[in-house]
Amino acid sequence: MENKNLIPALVICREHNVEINFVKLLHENELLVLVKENEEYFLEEEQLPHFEHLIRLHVELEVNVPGIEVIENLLEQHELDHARIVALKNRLSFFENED
Amino acid sequence: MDFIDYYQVLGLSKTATQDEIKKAYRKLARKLHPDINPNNTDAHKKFQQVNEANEVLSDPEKRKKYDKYGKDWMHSDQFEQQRRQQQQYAGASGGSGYEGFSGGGGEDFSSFFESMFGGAGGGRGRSRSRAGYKGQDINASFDLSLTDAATTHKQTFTVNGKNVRITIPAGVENGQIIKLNGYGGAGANGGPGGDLYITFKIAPHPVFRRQGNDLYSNAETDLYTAVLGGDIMADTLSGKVKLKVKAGTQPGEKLRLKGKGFPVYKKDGEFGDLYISFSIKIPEQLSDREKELFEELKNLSPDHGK
Repeated sequence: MENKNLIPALVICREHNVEINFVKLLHENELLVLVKENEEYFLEEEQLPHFEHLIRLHVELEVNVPGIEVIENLLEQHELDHARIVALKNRLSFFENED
Repeated sequence: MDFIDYYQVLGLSKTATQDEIKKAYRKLARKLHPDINPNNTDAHKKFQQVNEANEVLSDPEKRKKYDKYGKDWMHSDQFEQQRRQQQQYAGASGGSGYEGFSGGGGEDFSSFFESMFGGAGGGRGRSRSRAGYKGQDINASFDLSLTDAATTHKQTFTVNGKNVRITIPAGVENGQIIKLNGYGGAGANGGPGGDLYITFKIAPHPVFRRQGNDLYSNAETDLYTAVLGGDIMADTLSGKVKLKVKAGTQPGEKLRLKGKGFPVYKKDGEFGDLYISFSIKIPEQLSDREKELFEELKNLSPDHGK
């Protein structure tokens, strides 16, 4: 197994004042990847920014897990649309600069 | 430094209750929160104002100071002096408002706020203060020429007083954003640094136009070469090349130079193509002899008289 820095889920739950069940729910809904070892859940360090983003949606905007899933899908769509807009703008500018 | 009308920011009247402030704040935060507005710097700025307005209006003491001295914030020191005297008799009182949002970044307060209340947060306690939060994400743009974008090169940026040296891979697109983890604002309470997002802006080139990995340019040839064929010199990104113009080349006709286009992003040794369109220069001032010869050609043309 690849040696990655793992943070116990319980520790980050305590740090962010969230229930472990919330984190498990994120994992069950494929919104967050947790590693299970000896009946304990861990988070890969590189997932921490994403985890904190999900926490903010939950704690600060009071969004539940199904709501977070909807937001994440819409954000993903937004990213794709944004990339598409950039590509279209570049194409448009190509034709605008045509002599 | 301008006065900020925090009531207007939250869309409230000066008589708003704490409940109304809380409700207005939550409504605006759900609309403008940076986590649901990626790539929207306008929303980020508005959110900071909303956060700041909440920080002041939800704290009775700050609100009192703001209501009294808001427009005359320059004189607010007198208020502080008076408040300290009162506290000597009454004992310190803590803020009772609810906590604000971190917004995924370090709290950034206006100079108006800092002038009135001191540094970020104004010393008010927060129930989540134990948690380490990621620093603020920073968006920056970087202008580069098409020829710069065609070569992998190192570039140094100064962000927040730190020098950041990055490698810009050849083939970067106009409008492309690259993310540098940890190069944004400092994290809070031991949290990781925010991220730095750099948007590349590639200026139009006088000779080449780019579409994806392909380049387009024009080459001018004289009428005689277009009719009879011959060689001309044309520009490519890597220098001039000799082009064979076939006899009977039409205006606007394109020639493809395989592999002479733009480098493919992060694919070493792969290049798009260069398309060269021919424009044909028609002679304008003809000598009598030239006119005579053109007339002769016209009469010889099979299309003549049709």
